Amino acid sequence: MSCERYQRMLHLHRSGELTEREEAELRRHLHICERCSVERERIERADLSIRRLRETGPTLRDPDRLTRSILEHIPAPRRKGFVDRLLDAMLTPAVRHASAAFVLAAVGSFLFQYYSTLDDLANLEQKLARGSQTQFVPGVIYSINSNTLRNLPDRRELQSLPFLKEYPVSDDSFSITQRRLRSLVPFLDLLSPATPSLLHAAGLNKKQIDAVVGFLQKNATLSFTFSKEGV
Amino acid sequence: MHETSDQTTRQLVLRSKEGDLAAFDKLVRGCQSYAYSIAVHLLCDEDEAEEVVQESFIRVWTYLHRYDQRQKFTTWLYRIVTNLCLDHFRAAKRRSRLFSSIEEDDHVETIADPQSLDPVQPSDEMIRIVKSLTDRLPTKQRLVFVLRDLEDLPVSEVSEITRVSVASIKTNLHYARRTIRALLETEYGIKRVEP
Repeated sequence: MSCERYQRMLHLHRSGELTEREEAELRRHLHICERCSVERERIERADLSIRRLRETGPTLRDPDRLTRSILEHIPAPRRKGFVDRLLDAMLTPAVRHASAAFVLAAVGSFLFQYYSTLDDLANLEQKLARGSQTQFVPGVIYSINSNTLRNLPDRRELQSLPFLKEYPVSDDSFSITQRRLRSLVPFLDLLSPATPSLLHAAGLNKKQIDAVVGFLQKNATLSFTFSKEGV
Repeated sequence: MHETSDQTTRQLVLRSKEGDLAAFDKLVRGCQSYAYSIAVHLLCDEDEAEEVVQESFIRVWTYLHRYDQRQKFTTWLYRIVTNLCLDHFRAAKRRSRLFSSIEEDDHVETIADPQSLDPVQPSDEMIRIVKSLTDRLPTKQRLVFVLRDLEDLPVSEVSEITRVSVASIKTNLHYARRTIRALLETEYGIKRVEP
């Protein structure tokens, strides 16, 4: 290898400038090369002068005056705007912890409600499944008791109830087929086993029904009866 | 950094960012002499160096909100100082081109041998010697030589300040030292031993 490379290394011999490998290589070369050894001595002599320059560092003539002059010339402290102050406030640990707690609480609440709703739906599904297995006995009277029915002015509005809407009600009665009754499964909660009812729909004509409805409007609850078709 | 520890500097920087003038005062007192040293070595003029230091700290105060805390504060400060010095070089070059016919070298100064310098006392002589040596270097070599050999900063920090790769720093350092050593032999009579 040429001496030129080693002499380049000689110019870079301060700590951290050569790798360990390069230093070892250079040491081995200097051991055998007189020319490079002389060059090293020359460099070292010059370096003494550079070191002296380094040690004779410049000193400020009047440090206090310079400091004062700097402070006199700096612009007035910047007044922080609303956004800056808000960002500063948000960067404080207290706000960060409070935000983290709020987010955790919100997520927790959401998960709790989500799983509770799922639970409720599962219960409802089970209830409906049980209801769908209910056997309706032909000829038996079923009644619906509901406080919401109390305010119905007449039976035409009775048909506007969601579960009766699609079932025509005859002039004389609230007859409904058992087949259709089964499709009312979602409303099984409103159905109760038949008991002798105040209103036996099968035999009542319009006038009688109106009378009964009128009576029930004034009283607590309305009951009406589904019966087997044709009864 | 010599006069304040890194931890103290960090605290002072944080408080200065909040507009605390007392903290900034301490920060300036802690760092100004080192900033001044770099400026003098680069500009070789004490008045200009003071101006640069003053301007540097004004910029520090103005742009402190942009300072990245992960970086060493002094590295950031030295970059500002060196950039301002480079601006001075450019301005001086423009001036010298303008007045080149007037500024003829009509006198030769006698400069002392660097080895005779008193390491304790501040010395105008030192400034003149540095000037006579570094004036012959290209700007990048001059910058690298001053930061590494006269300010004794590690190569990695010189690289951060100048934003030049470590490999390029070493190359420039090699050429700068070779020139300086040759100058020391020719100008100051440091004997060259022939093999």
